[in-house]
Amino acid sequence: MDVTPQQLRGAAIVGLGITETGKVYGRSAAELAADAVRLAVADAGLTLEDVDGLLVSGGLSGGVDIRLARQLGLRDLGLLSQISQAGSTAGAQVQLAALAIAGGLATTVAIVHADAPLKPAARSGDAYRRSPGQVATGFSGLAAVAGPRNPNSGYALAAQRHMNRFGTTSEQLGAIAVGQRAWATKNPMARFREPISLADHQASRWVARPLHLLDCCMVSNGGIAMVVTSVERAAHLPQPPVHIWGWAQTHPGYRMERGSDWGLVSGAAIAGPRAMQMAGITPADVDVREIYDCYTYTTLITLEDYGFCAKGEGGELAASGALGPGGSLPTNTGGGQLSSYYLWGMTPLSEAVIQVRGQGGERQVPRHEVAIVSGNGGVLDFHSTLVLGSQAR
Amino acid sequence: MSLQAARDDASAPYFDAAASGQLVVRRCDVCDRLFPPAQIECPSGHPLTWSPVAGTATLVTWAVDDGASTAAELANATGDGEVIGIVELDEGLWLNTALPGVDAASLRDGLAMRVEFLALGGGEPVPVFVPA
Repeated sequence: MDVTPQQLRGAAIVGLGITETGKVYGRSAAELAADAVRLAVADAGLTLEDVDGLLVSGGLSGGVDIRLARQLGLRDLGLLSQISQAGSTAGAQVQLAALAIAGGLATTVAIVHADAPLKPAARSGDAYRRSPGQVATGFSGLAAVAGPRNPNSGYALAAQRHMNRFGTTSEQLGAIAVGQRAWATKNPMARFREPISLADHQASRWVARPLHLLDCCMVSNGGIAMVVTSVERAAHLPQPPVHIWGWAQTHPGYRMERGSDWGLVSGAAIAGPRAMQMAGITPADVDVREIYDCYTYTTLITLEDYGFCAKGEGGELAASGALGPGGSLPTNTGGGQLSSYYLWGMTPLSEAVIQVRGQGGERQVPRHEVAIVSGNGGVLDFHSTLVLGSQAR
Repeated sequence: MSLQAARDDASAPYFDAAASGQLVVRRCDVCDRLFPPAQIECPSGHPLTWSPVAGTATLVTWAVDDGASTAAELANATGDGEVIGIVELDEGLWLNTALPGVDAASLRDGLAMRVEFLALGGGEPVPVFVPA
């Protein structure tokens, strides 16, 4: 069976459900996942009986798996899977849902990510920090002594390499944090809504030099779900459909040896152009950018890789103010993982859905026909891109 | 509380070489490529052997881990963190490593480095890199 590009582009996101996020205690990740799915299905104007596919993603806390189907009472599913590719998962969930619909496995697929790593008495960073053991055996001993021990230091190494090569500065990274916070002040769902200045960024404590605290995402509890269905069905549902125009994934597998461009580019450099080619657009056609921002640096290199500026000029782009409210290239318009909520790839994807629908309220960008969404996982190991549009294509 | 490295069967040849002051990495003779010590097999399926390297390198990137200290011997020059880095061995392979005792502000891209071995907490000697 040959599937045409039109069939591949024949799906849309029609429902969005976001639970309370942040320091939400007393609900397990599985319960948050179930709540998010119920919210998304209701938002789509559907009931759980309409759902015939489910793709689940859990985070650090675990407990979110295919048993969610039973918890929700779903029956006769044609598609049920747990997938995990770290920060690139959400984009992949949309892609797999669209492929499943094009291929006849299901008609209406719920996708969900939920996590509850925060504990009432612990610091946020503890959730992702490996505690050094007293004795580390074998090659794991080498890694424990002699390498990045957590994502912060892994990304710090990558950011320093970008600085070495291109002259990127901490102040330029800070401009990304300041711009995203300015967006977050307009987002009622954002955890951090007080404006920050570049001086605040520079004065925030070091987490892993060259990264300040305000270069780093938060950690959140919560769940986000979406409903994906065919464009034909979407036409009869209450929400403005968010059409899936293009997609790609790249998991680079960088060779760590002479000549490697690790730290200078990400999988977005390959997946971005592929996704835009599938959508039939160029970067100039993109109205809103929702970029995976585990760190300010990740936003910066992804914008370069997508072609919103030349490689190495991301720092100047950020410092120009183009990314913030009122700028020419609105980016991470909900505040992103730096300022709003951290639910892996569902953070940028959820904001893209809100913006393409035109439901961004005070933060709504005036032109919202086309959005690009990135997901990034590991330390630049995993990447997904989506191009979303307000019209069928 | 100092972190300690301990050997197992797979790492025994590596730590034996380290104890004699020799840095070794994995090598595929068929592909003529080097791999990090923990690499189990060549991506093309060939066997890997242990191969000595000169222990001289250049600095690719670095960072200061401001988190909890793992070993006093790894502290930076200013005593407020541990400097980690990636070095490019003269043979071309990159290694994640620690840069004990350095001032991060003095580091620069391409700085010449050389290996040293530290037996943290009395455990097996682990390679670290310092400016040559």
